[in-house]
Amino acid sequence: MRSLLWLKRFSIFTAVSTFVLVLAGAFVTSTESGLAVPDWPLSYGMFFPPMVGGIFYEHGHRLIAAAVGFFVLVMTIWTQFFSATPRNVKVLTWIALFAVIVQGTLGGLTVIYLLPDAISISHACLGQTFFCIVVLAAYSRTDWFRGIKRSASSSSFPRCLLALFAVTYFQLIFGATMRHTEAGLAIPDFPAFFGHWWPPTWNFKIFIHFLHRMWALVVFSLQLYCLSRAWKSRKEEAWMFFLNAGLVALTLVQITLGAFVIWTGKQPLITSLHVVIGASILATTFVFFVTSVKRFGFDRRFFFDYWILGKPRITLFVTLSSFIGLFMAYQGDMPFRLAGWTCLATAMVAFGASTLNQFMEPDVDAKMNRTSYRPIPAGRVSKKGALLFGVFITFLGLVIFIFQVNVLAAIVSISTSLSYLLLYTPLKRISSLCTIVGAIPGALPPVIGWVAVTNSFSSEAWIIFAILFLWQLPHFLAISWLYNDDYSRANLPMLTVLDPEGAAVGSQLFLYASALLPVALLPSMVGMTGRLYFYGVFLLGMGYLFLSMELKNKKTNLQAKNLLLGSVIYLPLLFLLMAIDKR
Amino acid sequence: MSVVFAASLIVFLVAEVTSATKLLSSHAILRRSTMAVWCVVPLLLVSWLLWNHADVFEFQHTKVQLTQLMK
Repeated sequence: MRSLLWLKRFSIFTAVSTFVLVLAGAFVTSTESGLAVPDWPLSYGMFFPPMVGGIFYEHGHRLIAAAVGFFVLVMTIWTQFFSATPRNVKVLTWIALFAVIVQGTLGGLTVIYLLPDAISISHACLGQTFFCIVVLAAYSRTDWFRGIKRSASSSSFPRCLLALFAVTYFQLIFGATMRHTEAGLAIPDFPAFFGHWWPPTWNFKIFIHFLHRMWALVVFSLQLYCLSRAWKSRKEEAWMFFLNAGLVALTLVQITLGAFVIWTGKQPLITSLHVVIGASILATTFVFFVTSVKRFGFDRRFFFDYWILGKPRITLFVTLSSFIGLFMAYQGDMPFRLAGWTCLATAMVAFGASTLNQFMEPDVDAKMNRTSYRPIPAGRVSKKGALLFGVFITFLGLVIFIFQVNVLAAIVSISTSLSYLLLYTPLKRISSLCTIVGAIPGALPPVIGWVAVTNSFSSEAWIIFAILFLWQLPHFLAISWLYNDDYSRANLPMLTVLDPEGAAVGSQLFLYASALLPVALLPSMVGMTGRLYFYGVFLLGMGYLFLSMELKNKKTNLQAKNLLLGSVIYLPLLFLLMAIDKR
Repeated sequence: MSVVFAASLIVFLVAEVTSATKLLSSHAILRRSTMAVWCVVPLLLVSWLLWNHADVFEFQHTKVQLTQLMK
């Protein structure tokens, strides 16, 4: 038992050492000493170079980091010796060890590659994440944490705290980005912006600085909301109120320090304190969240519910379509970085649009067997939560488009979302033409990918748009054929509902499949692809047309299933042929 | 490739004419205007794409004349 006590003390010591490490790292950036030592892992080829100027900060940071790495290694090995230690804590120490190794590697890479933004920002974010892990590893050994009893009543408080942690973590990312892109004084006054209440001019540095300030208000507001909830249950759960009040107080100190960073022109001590107080807020929020989970429990389906709000399969399809547009547009070397940002931003905007779509029609979803399990109609996610989440994800996607891709791609992307949400979604209750209107946002993603590369529209992009547009009609008519009862129950005037005999449906899906036949061949006709694509897609098109004709003539569910299956085989193969045979 | 493409265009045009005739002349539950939109969309889309690539399909001259006529 005595050795367990020493392990607890050592874990706390490691957490305190990590705090000092974060402070030392903050001083490296604040004093602009990141490249004071140009080599790594040695410093000027030595273990102990003269500690003068920036070398003091940079080499000092390395020495503390090495010590912390050693402490974490000892803590991890030591923890494994105690069979009584909960498995979670053992796993946590391994995660801490892994994180410190990755963190050290990132630190080395950022020196070797002369402080590239992406690596420096990742190093800053992982540093604070590592701090949270080490703090939790120490906290989980305390008597206070081990003595927490599960409450008989359930509470949504852990969810609030998880949201608070997520929002605080985003603030860390924004802050790290601002710091490492040297945007700390991009807006030189506080609380105004260049003497105005809104920045009169914009660029990336001003934007990220502005975002960091505004996001601080979001974090603080959410903390106050949590505090108001904690106040209501202060008699039963006094710890919640006091911890929350401490968090709010810490944030007030942090906001004040942020103001002084501006007023003092980034004085190193104040700037570094701003970083470590930020790390403390993040770690406190994390610990607070974990404590609330132990007290009230946490339904892990929560993550899954928010995941399925974004319709992941549709998001994947949209992202893939966008990538195909990008792939077909570029000439020369593949722009991997641009492709990565474009796919990420497209996925986020698509995820947000799907979430907002579910926010807009829970009543319809509730009436349909196919969708009644969804989180909002099933009551597992609130409409407000879905709205905030959808808007937030969409906003982030657009920010990435604007600052990492181009404005035109952002415009096409938001047009896609808006046409889906403001045209297709309401039209679903009014007219069968919603299927045609809905096919427009469904076909726009390749155009997003195209303009991401070229920053202009071109007729080739519209060919891929047309292929996707025409492909969707037989695909969706087959789906609505199979789920006709669902659509009838929800009073949605789909073509299959209005035409239960299926004569018009059959004709339409055959018509659109026949239009797809020549349109899908156009890429080869205009020189985007070659013969392999042409003949391959011709055969695929004939198959798609045949399946459509079968449904048109026989009008049974089996034919509808075959057509649906055929449609999901057709498109990936078409994309594959397009990619292989690109000219 | 040109022959196959032309044949596929003809298949589409035949489907367009037969579908439109059948749907617009029958006493369907759907309104005719709605059905007309359903029928005309693929025709417009294919025409627009061909128009965009008039040079490829060697009717650039016709396109220029038509454009002037519309002015």
